[in-house]
Amino acid sequence: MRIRRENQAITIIVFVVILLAVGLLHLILPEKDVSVEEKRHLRRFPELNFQDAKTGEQSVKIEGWFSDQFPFRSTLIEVGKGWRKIAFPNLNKDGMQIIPIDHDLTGEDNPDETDQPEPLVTDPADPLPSQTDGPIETEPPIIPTIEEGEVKSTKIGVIIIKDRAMERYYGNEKNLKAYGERLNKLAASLPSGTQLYSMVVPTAVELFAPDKYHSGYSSQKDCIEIINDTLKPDIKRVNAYDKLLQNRDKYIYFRTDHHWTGLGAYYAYVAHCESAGWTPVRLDQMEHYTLEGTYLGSLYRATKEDVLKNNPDTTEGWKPLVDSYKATAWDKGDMASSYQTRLNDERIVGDYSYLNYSGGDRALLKIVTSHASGRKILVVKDSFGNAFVPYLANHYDEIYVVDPRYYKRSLKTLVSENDIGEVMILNYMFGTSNSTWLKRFDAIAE
Amino acid sequence: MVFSSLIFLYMFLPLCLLAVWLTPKTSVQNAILLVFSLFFYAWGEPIYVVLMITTSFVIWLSSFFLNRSRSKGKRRFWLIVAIVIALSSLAYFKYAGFFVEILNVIPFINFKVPDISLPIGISFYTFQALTYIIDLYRGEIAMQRSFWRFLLYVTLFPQLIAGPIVRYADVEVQLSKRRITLNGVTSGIGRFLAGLAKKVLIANYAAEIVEVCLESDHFGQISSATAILGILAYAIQIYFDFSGYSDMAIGLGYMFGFHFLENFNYPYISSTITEFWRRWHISLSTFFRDYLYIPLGGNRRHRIRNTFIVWFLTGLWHGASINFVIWGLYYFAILMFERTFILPAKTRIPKVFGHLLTMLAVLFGWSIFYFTEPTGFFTFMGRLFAPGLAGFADIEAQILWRQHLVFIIIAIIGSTPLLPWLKIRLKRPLNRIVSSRVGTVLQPLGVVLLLLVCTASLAASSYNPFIYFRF
Repeated sequence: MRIRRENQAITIIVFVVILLAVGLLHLILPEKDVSVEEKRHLRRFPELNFQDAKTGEQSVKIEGWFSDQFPFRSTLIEVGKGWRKIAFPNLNKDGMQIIPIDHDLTGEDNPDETDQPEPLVTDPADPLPSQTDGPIETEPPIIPTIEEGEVKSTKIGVIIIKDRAMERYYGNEKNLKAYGERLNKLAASLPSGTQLYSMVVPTAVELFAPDKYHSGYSSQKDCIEIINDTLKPDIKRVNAYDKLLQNRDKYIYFRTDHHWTGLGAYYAYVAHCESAGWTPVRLDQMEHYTLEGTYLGSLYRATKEDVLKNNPDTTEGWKPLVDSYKATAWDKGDMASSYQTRLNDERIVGDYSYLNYSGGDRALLKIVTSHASGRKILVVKDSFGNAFVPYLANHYDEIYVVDPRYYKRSLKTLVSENDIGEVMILNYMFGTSNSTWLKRFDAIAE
Repeated sequence: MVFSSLIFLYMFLPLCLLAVWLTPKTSVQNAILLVFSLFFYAWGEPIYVVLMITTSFVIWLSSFFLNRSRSKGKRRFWLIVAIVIALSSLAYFKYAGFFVEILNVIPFINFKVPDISLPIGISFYTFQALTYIIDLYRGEIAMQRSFWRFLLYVTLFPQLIAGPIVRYADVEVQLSKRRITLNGVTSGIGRFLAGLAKKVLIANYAAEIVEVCLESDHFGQISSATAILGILAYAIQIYFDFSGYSDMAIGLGYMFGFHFLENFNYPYISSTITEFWRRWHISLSTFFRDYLYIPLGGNRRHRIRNTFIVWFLTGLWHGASINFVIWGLYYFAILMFERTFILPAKTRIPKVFGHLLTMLAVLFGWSIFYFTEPTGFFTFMGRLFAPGLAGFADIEAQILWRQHLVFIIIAIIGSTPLLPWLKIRLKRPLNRIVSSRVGTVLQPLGVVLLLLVCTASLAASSYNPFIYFRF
């Protein structure tokens, strides 16, 4: 009996001591700034103010701080993940699993919103191809302000097969047709004679997963057909799909990111050349480079799966064949400031690897090359376009790259003022239904 | 604040336990508990804590006048005052928007729907205060002379946010006299940790399955098997979430010397819906039985009308939305059916069959409960019975089922009284362990391991939903 009571006392003491000790440890240990695994800043103890206290916001912030700064947090997270795997094992072959993620990856180029990399400005002393001057865009009429659209949070599944993560896609016929109609409307508003191209890029699941994973509602091939059938006949459909499919044994999509690689974008470039009447430059004709280190992309950030962490991506690219070019970037829609930048910047590594090709999503990128083909092109795109546009510098005199989420002026004006003869709309599957992109596109396409 | 949070576990709880255990006098303990409880509530509701205190004061004041009155008429007057004020407050904060929405259905009427935020726990503490005033009127309890002790009863943090609905009569004595014993505290810790595990390890995981099955952007195109997995996971989530929270509440009560009544008794082993409602959210059904059904006449007068009213209000209590009322009336219909046809013939129906039917009825009931919008419900039904292109089980369903099958099976087993059955079977060896040196190591080790795994799961997930929280 005595031992029983002693045991009880000990249990009680152990319970309380652990709770106290951990709590004390939390207060004593210095605050941590970043979480390396989650690639974000960890919340600090908030500034106390009456307003927050009144609304209850203060408690939320304090709890956020308490959770983020919890002692041994990363170890505990590993224990939590391990517990799940052991107690509730996944019976799928190869550890295949579907993980819900609750945010749209369409806008995701940068890992941490608060930590944008400084635009790497070209050093004047840098041995870059010499600058050529081109016409600067003049002040266009003011476009009515676009209200901030609510980003529709799409809960989609990410499917992981072996060491590759892929976004699942489910088509909605209404949305697909609406996308096609948008392009028709743009074509009608542009000066006659402007050649429009439409390129829709599938997600990795279409190419790397067995057929049953992308059939029925999920067949992106069929969904692209629906878009193509809606387009007016004089809009050229660039068939990147087949080129990608034919080369899927190569490293054309990242495993830990939803984007395609420089190689994948190359095959899309080849498809564009077929539509546009260019002879594509071969890979061995361009200067090849590989970025230092490894890359863990958006799908790793969204799922935190170990199999992705242990098999990171590498990033490679090919520099376009051109004597010289000048690339000017306007990040914000007010076009107040611009800076010189370069394509295929090997200095951009690590988490920002995908940005090396032509930077991230921004209002406008204008590339003026030393070519004298007499042809200029405007690419209206989502983030998949960023890896694609450098290849256009193999041919075009001028390339304008616009992301509708940031660019606020009229596309028609941009096209007519700069005599742009070709316009390409480039989106990946989810871009065709991303409400932010579509809303802003409507506003600038008039 | 919620129990299943790091800040509660590692800041609030140890401080509260120490403060209470180190003070021998019950009256001082009460003061400490009251302060901690108000802080606990104000943490999530800095403004509405005043509402809770005010409502409690008004009820208590009414009880003072009721107590002083000799005539039945006067006593009834004060009872009505208290009930009206309590229910008006609840009606306003919880149902005003809903009432206006109903009104707007009438043509030519279009009032602006007010946007009133719901104070946490108002459904629970209002009902608790009502048990006090009604039992006082009935002469079953004595008036609580100390407003502070009454306030402690209403706001005691273990049962404040999500029940169980503790009747004043059940804790009347404990408010002024209780003993904190080694036995009590140890079983409290065990109970608390069991509840924490149920919530954090089972319910939160089930919630993720519900999300991937029923909340995806292609919900309209899922296969039947995915829909079934989703609703099964929801049934698991809501049971482990709610009963887990009640376990934590009861466990915490024990740690402070309070003895609360059970709120769940393995409802998913029921073989009739009648039995189900004797095992699910017991404190709510007993509340409605004792304070609504029986005063209305109970079994004796207008039985069907009384039952209808009780189930209408049970549904409505769960949420200010028409689907909850339908859910309540759904059970009304089944209960009437059972009473008339099934129960009299009970001995002739094999229990297994009854159990299966009951669980199907319960799952269907949860689908009414889950979808607050009719389109969601009908889409779900469509996916279940008239599968489209995705068929009965597409590739997504196959992956999801294989991914989560082990979890589902373990959760189902966990919803049966297997553990208490084992406890009884292994009573002697268990007794020997807890009274031996082996127990000296095993018991604390069990505590450490449970705390570790639960804390790890809490640290890993920022997703910690709490269903019955909106009550």
